[in-house]
Amino acid sequence: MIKIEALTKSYHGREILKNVNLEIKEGERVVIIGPSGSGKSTLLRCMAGLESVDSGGISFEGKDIFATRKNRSEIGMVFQSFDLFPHLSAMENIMLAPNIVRKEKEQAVRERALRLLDRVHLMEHKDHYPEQLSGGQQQRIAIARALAMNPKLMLFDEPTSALDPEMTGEVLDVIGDVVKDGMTVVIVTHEMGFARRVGDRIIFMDGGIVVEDVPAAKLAELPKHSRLDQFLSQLNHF
Amino acid sequence: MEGFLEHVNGVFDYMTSQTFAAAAANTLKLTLLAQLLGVALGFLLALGKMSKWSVLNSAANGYIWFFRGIPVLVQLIFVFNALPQFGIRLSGFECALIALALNEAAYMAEIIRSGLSAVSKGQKRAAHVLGMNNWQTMRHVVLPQAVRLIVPPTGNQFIGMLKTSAMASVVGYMDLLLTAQQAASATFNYVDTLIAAVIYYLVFTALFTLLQGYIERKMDVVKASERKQKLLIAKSGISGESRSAA
Repeated sequence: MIKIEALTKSYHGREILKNVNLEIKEGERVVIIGPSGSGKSTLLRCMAGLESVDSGGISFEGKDIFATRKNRSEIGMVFQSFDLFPHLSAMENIMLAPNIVRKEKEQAVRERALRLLDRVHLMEHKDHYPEQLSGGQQQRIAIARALAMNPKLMLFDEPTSALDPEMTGEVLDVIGDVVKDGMTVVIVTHEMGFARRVGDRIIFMDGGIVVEDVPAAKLAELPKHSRLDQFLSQLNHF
Repeated sequence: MEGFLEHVNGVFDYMTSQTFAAAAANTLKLTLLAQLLGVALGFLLALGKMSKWSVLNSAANGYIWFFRGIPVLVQLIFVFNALPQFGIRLSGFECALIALALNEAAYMAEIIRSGLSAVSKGQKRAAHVLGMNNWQTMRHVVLPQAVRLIVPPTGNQFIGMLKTSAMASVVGYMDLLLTAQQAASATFNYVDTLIAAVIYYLVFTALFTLLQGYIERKMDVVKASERKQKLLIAKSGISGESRSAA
């Protein structure tokens, strides 16, 4: 579904991604983990077409995502910082892009928005503005907003890192629902329990390269003292 | 006391005269148009300042440096007296409009730029992954948020423009000041004529201030929705009581 070939990317002379190769098939649930600065969020932003790349390429269903906006229009993304539009209500946040980008019929967009609000359990908050919502509620609206464009691939960039622990669960549950419906997802997260539960493929990045790429079920069988093993035991110390 | 009443009558007569009403309309027309043009040109300059292209950056910065650095009065007299030497002859109104708008744009550019750049990068990023192009992002995401920051200082500029418009009297535009001066030169009644003009200025300033407050309240969508929700709760409370009473 999405193919990343020999991708490199530097910021101010520092190489963030060094020759990343990755292919993700339809229906796969990929979790990317790794220490901060390993390039995992940058990789995700490249996959959404938000970053230019120095060399290599990314194709989605065979088409170069950097060529036109249309080629990446079925890739949705959710950010750590939610980034809801503060001047629009929850409902309007969800409806904006289908209205102005796809120019769909108002009635169809409205019905879909209501369905999505129901799906993220926020129907009663549809007329509230972002600042009237908790972080967890904002992130669930952000997920609904991305789903409103009917994406085939959803990218989640540390979706719960900015949340208080008691709100993490409600957001992970919603993502779990999206995954259950068969959506192809790529999730960058530090929540290892969640990663094991929803992911069927774990990618470990470090220093701008893919170090490990293993089925989730095989995670326990990794050789001791590998870099991934060290990373996981560090996570467990918290 | 009699003298005072005489002045009140005099001021009232001048204010309600056709010449002063026309002069007030002229002042208002020049103020509105010059500010409107200033905002439009200032927006383009702000985009230039924020552009990736250094040519546009330098052009915008050069413009701002030039027009902010020269007294408005000098610009006005230049347009009126110097341009005819190049064969460009404009009316007093046209000269004033051009000079005031060009000058205003330099100030508005800074105000609009600071408003636009206060909108976080995350907002643009979110708009882009939803498929919006640069124009759609500007129109539906960045501008509505920036306008809330731009309105208060623009209200200030507007009131400033009302007062600066009096400079148009030096190029023969029949605004409030020139009309008052001409009326006074016929009667030597400077007190009544100038006070009549002053009252018009103060009333316009008050109206602009009210308008600004109205726009600010209109744009605060969150507060507005809270007010609406409170109203709904209050209403449902009343109907709930009446139901239990019945």
